Amino acid sequence: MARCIVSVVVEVQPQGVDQLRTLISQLRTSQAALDPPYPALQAIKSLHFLSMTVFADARYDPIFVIEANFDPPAGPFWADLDAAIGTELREMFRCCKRPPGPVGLMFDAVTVHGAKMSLAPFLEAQALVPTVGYEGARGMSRARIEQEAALFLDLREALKDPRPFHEKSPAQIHSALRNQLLPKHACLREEPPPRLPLLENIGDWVKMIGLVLAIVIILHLPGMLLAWVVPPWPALAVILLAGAPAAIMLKNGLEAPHDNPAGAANAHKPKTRMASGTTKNLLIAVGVLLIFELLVALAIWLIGGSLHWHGDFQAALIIAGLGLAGAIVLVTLILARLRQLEQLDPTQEFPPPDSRKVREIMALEDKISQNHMSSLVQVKPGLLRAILMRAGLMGLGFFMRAQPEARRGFLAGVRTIHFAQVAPVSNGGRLMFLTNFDGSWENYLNDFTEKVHLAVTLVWTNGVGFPPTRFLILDGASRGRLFKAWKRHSMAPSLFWFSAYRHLSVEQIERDARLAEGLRQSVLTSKKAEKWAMDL
Amino acid sequence: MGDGSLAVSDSWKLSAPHDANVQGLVVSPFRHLESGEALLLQLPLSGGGAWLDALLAKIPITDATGRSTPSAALAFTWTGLEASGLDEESLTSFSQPFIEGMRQIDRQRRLGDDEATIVEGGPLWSGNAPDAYAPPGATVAEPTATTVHAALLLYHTDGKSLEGLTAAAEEILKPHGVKIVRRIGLSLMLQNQQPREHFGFVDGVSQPVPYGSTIVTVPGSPKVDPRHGIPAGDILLGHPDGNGEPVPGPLTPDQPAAAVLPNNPAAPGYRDLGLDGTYLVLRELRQNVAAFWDSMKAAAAALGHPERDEKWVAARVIGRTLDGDPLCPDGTLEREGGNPANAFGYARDHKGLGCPLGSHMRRANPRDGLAPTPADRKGFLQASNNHRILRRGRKYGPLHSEKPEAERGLLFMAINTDIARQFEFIQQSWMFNSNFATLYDETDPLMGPRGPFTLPGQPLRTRVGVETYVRLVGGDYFFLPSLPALAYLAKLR
Repeated sequence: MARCIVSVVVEVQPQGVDQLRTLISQLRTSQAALDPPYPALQAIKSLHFLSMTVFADARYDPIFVIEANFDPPAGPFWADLDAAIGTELREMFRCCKRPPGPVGLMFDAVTVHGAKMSLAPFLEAQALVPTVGYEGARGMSRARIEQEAALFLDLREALKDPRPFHEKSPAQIHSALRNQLLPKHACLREEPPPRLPLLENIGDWVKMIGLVLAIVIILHLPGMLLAWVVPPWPALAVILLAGAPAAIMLKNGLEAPHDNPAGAANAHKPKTRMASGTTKNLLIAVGVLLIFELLVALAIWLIGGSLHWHGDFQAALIIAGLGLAGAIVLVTLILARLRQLEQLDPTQEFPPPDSRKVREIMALEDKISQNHMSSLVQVKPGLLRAILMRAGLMGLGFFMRAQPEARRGFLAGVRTIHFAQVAPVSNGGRLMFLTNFDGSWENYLNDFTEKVHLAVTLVWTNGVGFPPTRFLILDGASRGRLFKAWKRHSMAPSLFWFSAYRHLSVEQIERDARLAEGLRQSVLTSKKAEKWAMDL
Repeated sequence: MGDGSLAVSDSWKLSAPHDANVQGLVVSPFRHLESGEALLLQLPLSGGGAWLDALLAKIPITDATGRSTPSAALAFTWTGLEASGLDEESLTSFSQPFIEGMRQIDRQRRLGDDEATIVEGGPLWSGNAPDAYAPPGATVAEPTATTVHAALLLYHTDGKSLEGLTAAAEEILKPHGVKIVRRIGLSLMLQNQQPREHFGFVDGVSQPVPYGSTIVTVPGSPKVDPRHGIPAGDILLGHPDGNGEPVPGPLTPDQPAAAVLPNNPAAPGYRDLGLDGTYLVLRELRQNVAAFWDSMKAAAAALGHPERDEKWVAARVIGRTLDGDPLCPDGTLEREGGNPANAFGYARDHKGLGCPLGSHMRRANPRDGLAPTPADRKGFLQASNNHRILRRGRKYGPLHSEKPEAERGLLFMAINTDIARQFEFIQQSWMFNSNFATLYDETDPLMGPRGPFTLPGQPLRTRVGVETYVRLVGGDYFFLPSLPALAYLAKLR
């Protein structure tokens, strides 16, 4: 079951921003002071995380962002949120600008003096689905996380005196604990809904493969269209003529002195795991491409036939081949232009040091073992950047939902992200990042620069001032000091932040899930039991 | 001033001219000098650098060219630099952690410095930096009773010679109104050439080894140590970082007095106050030896296993035996040239069956131990090495066996250039991280407050309770200036 990862983004009236900040902070302090804290939100049984942030920017009016991560369906969630903190939210929206379009009418209806109408329809209509939505403990509902956490605590209690278990085999330990806990934990008697239902699984792959196919086909189109109207040899000549300068440009881009003065020092930088098995992957890719070209030719032949085209299969093959040649030239051209842009992009060496803002952000961090981060950056100009950013983000988003390790919550070996979302806002002029994670900001950002830097660079390389990048994914975020300063500068304090399970890390949620899974089985083989017991 | 005959560190030293400009403490723990004393100083407000001028004339601060007897090091808190008369613009060019200090209320929280791990009524001393960036009305930390502006660290061959040296220092400082507000007698506590700490363990075994264009490796040592290599910029400001770029440090406006300082090509109009300097983290940690061993005995009793006595539990808490040998699934790792093993990873002990996942050694430097799969190990080792510190700590107080009622502990000293990424990270994301290495609800069994400690095992892990036996007495972030920077500070009036 995919959980909902959305944000509600509304522009703020410049004169109302201080009032808005005050209202949000008041909500935080009043809710945090209660014991247990945040009871109103805790009562929304589908909610995982909720944050409220106000981004100020000299070039834009401020924006108010409500980030929500919750279990579907969306409708009841927004109604629950309205019931929990609707009065406060309504006051907050009164500090905001009326959104354009039909949603503006809904905005009026909920913000007029004495308005009684539920906020839910407005919130649902205004909710923005991000381009990249990532969930760490994939498919775990709030109810299941809580049930299994309670089970874990009972397991610990049962093992407080381990002596009775000393002489037992793992399978016997399993069976003893199961018998002990079954009466209290009814959830062990039934299989929970699958974390990744078949349809969702297929959908993830269809989306990813669909995107790759769409990109490859679009890249083929120029060559194929040319081959359609011009005889093969002249067409090839045109393509080669177009390709030569592109190749020279790209070669120059590759050879141009790198702006990093110490190439030698790069030898000590973390190596990415992508390097292993490159040759094998390359051969597979070539094979797939050849099969793809055959399929394209077949499609041209079949479709062409129905359109009264008189070519044979060989002619179709030639068109497909020229399409491929055109695609290669186009990719070369795009890469050459990209390198050119990357070499000319201004990098912000020292973002204006705003120590006060950093302190304000820090004052709200590290209260519990989880943290929240929200950042907003400007996007670099130009059509190529706009296309590459969207294609890159979509590709990354689909990849992270399909790749087996990412599905298990691991990004390059790091498993600390509960939720993360990346969404273009302000008509694509800015890129927003909202995330809930385990550990400190310093730890999270270090993981970004030390381990997950390829993906992180792909996300932000289109941001103004980002550290120098090569080919969208290289360098960039691995330049730790530059990247961290840039990122800290793009952040806004998390004025309001709620976590439904404050003490649980993603690792712990997965550990609880493994233990519960084992206890649902009435018998475990000795090997499975041994592995299971290691988690106890 | 050094005799130049011996390498100051085991496998590396600094290239010229840096070796003559960097304080010797960076390259050496002065192990040839058994006796030491930390004099924590309070300067008269706006008294300028006359005291420093006088001090440097009589007691030169040791450089990094070679061994010298006696040796001395000098470091300043942010308020100390302010009291020395450093101008506002220079003062704000330091890194935020140093400006705010260890007691800043959010840093305190990140470091785990709360009543559970601080001495009663403490901490007793700090630089008492104002919370420089606090908005009006924000909650700020209570100041400590004692304000420390500078730490003068003196080292000599024996107690008597050291006494003479400290008396000389006192005499120089007195006329300038510089007060010695705390004295901490330091010792290596050598046993068979190995320094020990008060609980009885060999300490200071593992240190990072810097590399880069400003480092000279001793013949026979690799250019980059495969397990412990860190860029020189991680321990010295202005030296190259992992990308070969100089690590930025504080600057000072160009003026005649600043002519002793080098230029910084990236900042025309300024002189480089940071080059060859670094940040020094000082933490006075009181150790309760009786409480430690009582706690170990209680934990051993709870285990109820005839072969698992208090020494067995204590070795798991530390991760090494009393003699410093790291634990592994079948006992301890083989010694390296007679010394406790240090060139190791956790590939063989991924589950912590030998050396517990939450042991002090693994939390303080997880090496490759946090990698979820073998393929991740290399990358995770490099990632861990991004958070190394050079440790220069020494013990204070008499041996527990000699005078049980006296106070004793460790004056923790760590050298790093990025306090947030190095010292604070280790403390927050490893030592005090309740979710460290897939553990749940526990912190460092040595440094942390009372709580559970997991001993991984097969078929079942065991959790024992450990008490609090290490408490923070005082501490702060210090700037350890280069020798030219000291000369500049001495000129301030």
